[in-house]
Amino acid sequence: MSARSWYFAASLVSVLAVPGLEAAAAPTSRIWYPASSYPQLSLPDGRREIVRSMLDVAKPMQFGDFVWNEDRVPRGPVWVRVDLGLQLLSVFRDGHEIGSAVILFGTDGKATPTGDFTVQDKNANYHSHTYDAPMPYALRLTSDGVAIHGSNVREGWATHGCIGVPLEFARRLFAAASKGDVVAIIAAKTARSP
Amino acid sequence: MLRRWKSTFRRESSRLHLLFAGRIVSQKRMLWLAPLLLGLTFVAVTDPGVPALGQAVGKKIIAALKDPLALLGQRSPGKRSGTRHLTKTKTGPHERVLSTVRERPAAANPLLEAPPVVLDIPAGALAPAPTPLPAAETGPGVFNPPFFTPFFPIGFPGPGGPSTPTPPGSTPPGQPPVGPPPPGQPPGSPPPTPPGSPPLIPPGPPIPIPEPATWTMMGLGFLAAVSARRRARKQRAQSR
Repeated sequence: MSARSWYFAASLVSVLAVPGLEAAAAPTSRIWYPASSYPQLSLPDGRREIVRSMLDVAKPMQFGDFVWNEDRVPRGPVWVRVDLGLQLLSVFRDGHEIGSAVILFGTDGKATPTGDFTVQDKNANYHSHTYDAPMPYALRLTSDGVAIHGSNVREGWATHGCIGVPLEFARRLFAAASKGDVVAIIAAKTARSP
Repeated sequence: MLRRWKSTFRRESSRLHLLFAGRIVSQKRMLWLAPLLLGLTFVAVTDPGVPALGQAVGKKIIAALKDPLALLGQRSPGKRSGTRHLTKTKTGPHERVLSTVRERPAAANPLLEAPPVVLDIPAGALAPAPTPLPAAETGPGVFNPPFFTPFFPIGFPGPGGPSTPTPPGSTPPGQPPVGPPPPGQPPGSPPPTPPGSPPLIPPGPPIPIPEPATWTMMGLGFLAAVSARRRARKQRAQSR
């Protein structure tokens, strides 16, 4: 057995021996937290959501990128966290992060509202009459039309207040979310973990 | 004998040299890997034996991974820069391409611009009011002068008129509308037009007029035919 093989065998043994990281060496790109100490994420209204696992994205994502992995994730309540400061959207199901994408959001003239919202309506083929633009897989959040929908996510672009995500990600999010699910939009300065 | 020993010694020494060189390389690699191996083995061995130490190491590793926001920040493309961002605004005119179907405005039709024709018809001769046509028959392509409608009722028993009731507006283009002849006029003649108004010319199919390119092609073809015939005639004369 060569030295390299010994090294890999030893590292595998050591990682498996550390409590709470049993699944870290699994092929799925997911970071599992130990059941004894689940971290929490705070919502704008003060509530806290526990996080059981996070997707393991090693490098910074580019505009138009997204990750989605719902393998071994049980069914449960879905909530969406939109971080305007990080320009990221994360989808959690039963405390497990199942998707994340780089977003577009509103600019100064028409800023994206922040706070806790719920999915009021779903429309897979929505077309905005105000802007004469298609908004596929729209999850409407407010009565004045702010929604999460598929968009061409490019650097240097913004929306009129909606949250734009890549089209394929929007399709998956549309399938995963349902009416009444919580969407927490966190402003750039208040993003903070307990 | 001596030469054989020398050659054997050289060959073996070179082999030994290669062997030692390879061992040195592998030993250097082992020197690099040894601390890593020792550390990992230490963690692996101490965890079952000394749980407190193993848990401490594990907690340190977990602490590094504990904050989900740190993970989100690691994958983030960064904060939005202060430059102006572009937004798509589609608040201009909605018609961007011309429609394939064009409709002429109603004022362009000379028939519609003409004043209505007033005929003296006895009140008892008029039939009841006609039923309106369906929308498909009153399109722009149908000849339907509105000012004739009250004066050409359904089923008027005029001489030469149709025996079956005809709805108003169903008169084919190019024919005078069917109706009662005014007094003092022979039946079948078109209704009189007031003086000064443009004549009633029913709109027919436009006369096909060749375009300049067509004219040019026709002329070139004619010239080519004439020149070919002349050339053939010349050749025939030369051969004789």
